[in-house]
Amino acid sequence: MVQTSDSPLLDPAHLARIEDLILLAKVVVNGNFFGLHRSRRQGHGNEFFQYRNYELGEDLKNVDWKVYAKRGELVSKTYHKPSNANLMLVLDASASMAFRGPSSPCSKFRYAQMLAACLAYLAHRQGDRIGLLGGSNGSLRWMFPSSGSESFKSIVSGIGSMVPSGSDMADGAWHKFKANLPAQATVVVISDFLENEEKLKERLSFALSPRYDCLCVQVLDPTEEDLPEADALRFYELEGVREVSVSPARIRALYRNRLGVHLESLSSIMASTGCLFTTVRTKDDLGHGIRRFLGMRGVA
Amino acid sequence: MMEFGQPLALWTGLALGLPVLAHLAYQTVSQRFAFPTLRFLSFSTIPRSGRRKPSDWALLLLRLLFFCALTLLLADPHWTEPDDPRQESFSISECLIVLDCSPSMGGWGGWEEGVRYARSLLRSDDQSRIGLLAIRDGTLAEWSVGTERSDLALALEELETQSSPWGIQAMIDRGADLFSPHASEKRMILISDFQKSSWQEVTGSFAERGIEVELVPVGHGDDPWADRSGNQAVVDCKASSLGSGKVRVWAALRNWDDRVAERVVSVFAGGESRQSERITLPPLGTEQVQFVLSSDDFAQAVVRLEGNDSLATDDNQSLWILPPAPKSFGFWRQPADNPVDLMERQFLGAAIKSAGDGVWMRWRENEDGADALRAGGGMPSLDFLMIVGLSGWFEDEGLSDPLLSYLNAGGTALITPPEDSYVRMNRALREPKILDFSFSGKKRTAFPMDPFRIDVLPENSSLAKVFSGDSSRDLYLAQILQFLEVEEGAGARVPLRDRSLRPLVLERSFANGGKLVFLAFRMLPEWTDLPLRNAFLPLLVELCSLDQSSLESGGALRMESGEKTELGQVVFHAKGKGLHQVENQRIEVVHPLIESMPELMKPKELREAVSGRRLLQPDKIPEDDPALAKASLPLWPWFALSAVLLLLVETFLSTPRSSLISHKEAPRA
Repeated sequence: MVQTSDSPLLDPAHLARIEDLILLAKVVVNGNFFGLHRSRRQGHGNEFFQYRNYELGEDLKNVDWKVYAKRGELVSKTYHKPSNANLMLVLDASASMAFRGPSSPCSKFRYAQMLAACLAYLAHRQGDRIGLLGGSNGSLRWMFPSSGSESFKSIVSGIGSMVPSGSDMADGAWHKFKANLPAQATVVVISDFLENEEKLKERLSFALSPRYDCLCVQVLDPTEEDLPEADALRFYELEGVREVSVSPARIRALYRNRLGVHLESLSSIMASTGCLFTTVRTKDDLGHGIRRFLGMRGVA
Repeated sequence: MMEFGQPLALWTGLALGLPVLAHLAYQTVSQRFAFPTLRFLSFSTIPRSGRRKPSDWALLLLRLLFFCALTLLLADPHWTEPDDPRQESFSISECLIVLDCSPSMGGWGGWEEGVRYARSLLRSDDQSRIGLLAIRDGTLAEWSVGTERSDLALALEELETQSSPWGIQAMIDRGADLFSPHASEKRMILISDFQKSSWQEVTGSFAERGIEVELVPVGHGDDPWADRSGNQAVVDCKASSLGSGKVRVWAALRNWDDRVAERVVSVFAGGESRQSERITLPPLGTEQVQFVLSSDDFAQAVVRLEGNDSLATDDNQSLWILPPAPKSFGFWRQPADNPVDLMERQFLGAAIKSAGDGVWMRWRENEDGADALRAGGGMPSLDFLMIVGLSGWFEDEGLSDPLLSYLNAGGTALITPPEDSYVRMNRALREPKILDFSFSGKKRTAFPMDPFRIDVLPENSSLAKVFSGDSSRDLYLAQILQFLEVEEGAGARVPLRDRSLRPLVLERSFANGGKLVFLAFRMLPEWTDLPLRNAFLPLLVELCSLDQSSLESGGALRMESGEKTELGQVVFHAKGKGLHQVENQRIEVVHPLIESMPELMKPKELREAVSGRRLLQPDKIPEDDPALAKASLPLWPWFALSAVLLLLVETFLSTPRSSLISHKEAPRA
């Protein structure tokens, strides 16, 4: 059963039907988090923001004389103030992310896509520069942080075009990512974190620096935590060729125990690297992950 | 009604329990489930929840039907129209007695025992219809199943052991056809000594044809399948001339027993024992013995082992000891002594005289006969006439008529060309129509080192059969230094050519087997080196049809009883042992050596050989009977089709559909 959401607009079962990720992000953010995040600051910049009434003493170069000629009112143009904040989204597109349990509204990867798009929109609204690293060991997508509407559209398009396949990203990709990180950045890693936890310390070592904030969002499917209901199944792994025939009912307790140990281990690793760590389920509403992000940014 | 060709295969129907057991005892994990990682999974036993009840009735039913179809398919089902009730109620039992009449049955009391057993069958109260198959007068004799038993008893009295070209295999094959197709019981009784030499090649398929075979071994004494002993035999005899009116008789004696045998061997001639010798025969060994007799008094002799043993028919052997009358040859040549003609005459005469087998003198020169023929004085006994250096003298003396008379009477003549006057030679032969050919000149090799050669003999020619291997190589190496270039006319054939396909020899056949051979070259060193080669004599013998190679000792033809041969216009059938003379050909008919061998077949080998591999019920309808095959419709294609369809449906149903793997609960089959 789908858990009750804060708002129907955050329910993954509904949101998963929206193909356009930009629209989805606007629906989620504007409908549920309006006022909970910092808006773009006005200032001197190149991107037009809005008109406002001219105030006496204000520099006359801000007056829009064309409006004055038409309407006889003095209005000033305001501009976005450029932001120095950077958001780096790291999206795991390995084959295991394609898993969708029998009762789940969407796959783990679709959930991760939706969450990443929402975070990107939030950052875009704040005028942050947004970058993207996504993919797997087979295909990799790398976009340097940049700002602006076109950049936002490119980022969301990149998120939407990824297809889960292969295994986890290779170490080389992580080295390149760390080497090209901006001087300051907020990094959000969205993955299921089911493999290679022993490498996380090295991969997330940048988070130890005070210049970086890192949020690791683990996306799990409820079926992964409880195993499917069946007398006997032949499990085969999505990222390999191994198969095993088991009775889920007979190993469920042991399985939960092992998974729990793994999650505790992950938490420990994240804490040791200074990363915030949170686990979301594909049946959870998107607000959980977004609030965790806003909390990290000190907005919410 | 449905019948089965392999009813035993119905036992495979027990396999019907397999799918039930599979459903009750096992749960196949056929559904695959994609999962992000297996690292937290552990192996576990699969619950056998199906023990309580089958979980998929449709699948179970399908599998049961599949095994049913498979079982019926293996049982070779046929649909046959119900038989006529009257026929069904009428049970026919048929019995065929096959009596081995081979000569080996004459020993060890086998024949008497076999006939006695056959009589007892005829006297029995058994209501079966009985037939008889045996050898009579050298041919297959059959009394159909259902013949009156009294007639069969009379037929048994007339039978005797004999050699025949009809072997056991022919009797076996024919015997299977003598049963009526509607007989409910078919029984073939084989009465024989089952001697290995006669039975080792025999094969049959009685089991497939529903015929029950009963083996009745006879002539074995107390132990019906033990090897036999106590036989010695005269296996070979030959006579050769010693000159001075003496002839040597040589005999080989074989002991078939595994113990030493002491026997007295004698040679009989003129009804009296001429010489005797006691010999010791080693176990399973051979010994030789020789006698020297006067060849003037007797034409025949018999080598005989004195006393009795288990098989009497191989204890003696007759042979011709009188030398055959030699054949005669003579020469015609020009009256004046010509050294070249004399030399050629000497070459040819020496060659013909040596054309024997080294035992008897086969050819004798008959100069008087040749002169008498030349003088036109009747038809002397001259088998071969050679005319050397035929030229004008032949025409001057008017010898064409005597030659034509001689050839038309069946004589054989050889003509060689002269040193010159070739045109007259041509005219002397062509005008009286002795041999039609044209003469165009004399070919002479320009270089002695590059002579003319004989062309490859045409395949299937009589010469090609004689000259093969080394002998053909010797012939092809022969040098022809000069020869007359001639062209054959009507009636003439060319058996030999040079490599330019010019005739080297012409021949013409005459009535009554007469033959004229004309050589385009002379048998002289100036013309050819052929007389100095090994190929010379066989070439001469073959060209002039003087072949005597088939003759055995004493000029006699050796045959085994039961064999046939053509002697001119007569076909001679060797029915029994002894000496015969057909026209001028002497013949010795001997006991077949293989009939003396004591080895016997083993009963297991015999049963496998005559029954075939498959053991079917006796009343199975033979597949090759077209009349009955029409009423039997094979059903196996339908069952095969059903099995395939069931298997396909079962595969479809038991395979989990891909859409169910991740989203739906797995079927429990």
